[in-house]
Amino acid sequence: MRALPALEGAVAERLKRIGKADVLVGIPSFNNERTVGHVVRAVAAGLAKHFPDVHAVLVNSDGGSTDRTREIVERTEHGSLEEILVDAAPPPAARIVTPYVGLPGKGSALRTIFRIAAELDVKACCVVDSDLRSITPGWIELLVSPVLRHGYEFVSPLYSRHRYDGTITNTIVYPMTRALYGKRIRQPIGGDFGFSGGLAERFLEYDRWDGPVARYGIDIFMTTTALAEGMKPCQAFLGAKLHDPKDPGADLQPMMVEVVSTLFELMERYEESWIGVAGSEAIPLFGFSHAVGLEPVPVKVERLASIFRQATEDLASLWGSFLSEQSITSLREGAATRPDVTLPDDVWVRVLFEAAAGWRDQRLPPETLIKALVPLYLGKVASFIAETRDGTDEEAEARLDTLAAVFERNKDMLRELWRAGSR
Amino acid sequence: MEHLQQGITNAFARFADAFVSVIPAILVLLASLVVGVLVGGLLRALLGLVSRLALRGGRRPGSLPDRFLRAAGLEGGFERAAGAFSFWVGVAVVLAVGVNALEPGALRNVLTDIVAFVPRFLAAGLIVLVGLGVAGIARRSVLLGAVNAGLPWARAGARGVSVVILTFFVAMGLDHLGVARSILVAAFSILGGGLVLALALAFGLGARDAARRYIEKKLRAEAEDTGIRHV
Repeated sequence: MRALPALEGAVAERLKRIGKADVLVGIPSFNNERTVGHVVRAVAAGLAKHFPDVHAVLVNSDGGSTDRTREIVERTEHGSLEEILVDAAPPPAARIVTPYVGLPGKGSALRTIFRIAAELDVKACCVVDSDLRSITPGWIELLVSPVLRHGYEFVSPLYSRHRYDGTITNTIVYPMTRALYGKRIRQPIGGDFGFSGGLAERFLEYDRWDGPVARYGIDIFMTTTALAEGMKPCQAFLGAKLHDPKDPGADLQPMMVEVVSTLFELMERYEESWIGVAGSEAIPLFGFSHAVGLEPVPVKVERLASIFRQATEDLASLWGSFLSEQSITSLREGAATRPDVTLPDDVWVRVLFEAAAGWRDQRLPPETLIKALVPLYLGKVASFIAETRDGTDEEAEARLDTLAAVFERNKDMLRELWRAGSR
Repeated sequence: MEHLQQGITNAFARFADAFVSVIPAILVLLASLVVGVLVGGLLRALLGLVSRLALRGGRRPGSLPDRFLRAAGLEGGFERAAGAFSFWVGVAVVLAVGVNALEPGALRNVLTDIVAFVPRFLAAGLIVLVGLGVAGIARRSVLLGAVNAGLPWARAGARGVSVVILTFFVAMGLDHLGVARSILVAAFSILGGGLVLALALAFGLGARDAARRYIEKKLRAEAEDTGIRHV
């Protein structure tokens, strides 16, 4: 029997009064007073403009903000509707502001939102981050409509991003998810998703909310659950995502550990779903694609390369616990090239597949294994930058497509490594 | 001359008597050792069987002690360590029983003292094993953290931390055995006090500006982290 996250008495009471709803928009937050007002305004305007006749609820699940985040969420209205060409203002969406229980993190915040969605028996939900600077009312339509009006069950975002923004996505999560589950979801950990009420209930069935899924692992958890459980997926083009991009060389360890742990853990949980999948297919895309001016991401390539080079000297014995001798030799060769390091696609794919099998067989403690992967990921990013720095964005994207295709072509290797471990 | 010959003969006769008198004791000890090895081996085999039955059809559960020992770099993990420990406990217990069965005398007293020392020795071994685990985990953590942060002294730092921790646990083990207790305490007091003083001088006096910058940066970083942190 599933354990549900607790709700405050006042919130439970409020839910009883509301009864049922059609659409729920969730906003997880923690000390976001600078941006959350804009997000709430965009959500309220989006609901008023695109879903005027729909019974909607806005839920803010807050991690104990000590600034004015909660107050801002409660008081912010949609502003002038005339500006967005809405003639008659519909009744405002009900608003619930609640703290969440559990480990501090986005996953725990969303879990409370899933619970409220289940209590209200909603047809469609979407969740948007509270640090967004580029959200518009149109995002709500694009994330909710495919579910509410077109029969899809999971909407993944598609953003225009700088070629060096989202490097964990580009080099690990996107190609792995695509090769595993056979669907080309370009931003599996985008952060803003649409999904059906039924899928929200499926998310609640998960039983390990004391792990990485309670934190950064939630995004890959949602995407993987949707794909592995056969939900009908699509993507929505949302334009640029402006937030605080992370330098891949700075403070990425916890995020990478949580995302990759969740990815590997779900590989184990959903082995039956991915083991037989071959190749991949595109999924429907909603939204009008257009070019966007993007903020550059200042990546310190020399630093990435230096960490990778040092790791091939200092961590080789640790890598030996889960990587083959062939992989370690190839990594050393790649680190020795000048002026840039090189980490060829086939080596990177083998490294990740061996790491997944090593994680499953507990060759090292999970966190240690993934931390040992960090310098390799940095090496892959450095290698990718060296290859694409003089090309166009389209060429960089094509390069990532090639990488994903190498993952798919080598899936037999993953099956062999995985099955060898389970024997 | 006859006296001397008589004396030598008597001495050899006494030696032969003494030697013959300990042969049963040696045989008992050898038998005890063989039985001890058998009992220890049986214990180890039983433990292995229970463990295999418990894990039948599934993969290793990764219990806390198992993860601890693996993190420490002890490849066999908890199963192997527990097997070795139970084996030696079995040998020690059976040997103690064997020594108790000997005739009273000097040999029995000496062997009783030696056998009585075995539990302490095993406990000291356990302390060092825990030390190996803690040192191994610390070495890995420091190495990974330092390499991922791009620090050039990663390997040396990790080794240093490991050596300090292991030294501490070995000293605890020696203390448990009662070896050079006063020297150990003095050595650690001098080493610990010296380290703290050296660090205080180096960081607080020698690198006063660097210390100020570091603390300011730390405080600023914390303030920034709070400002931009989001779920």
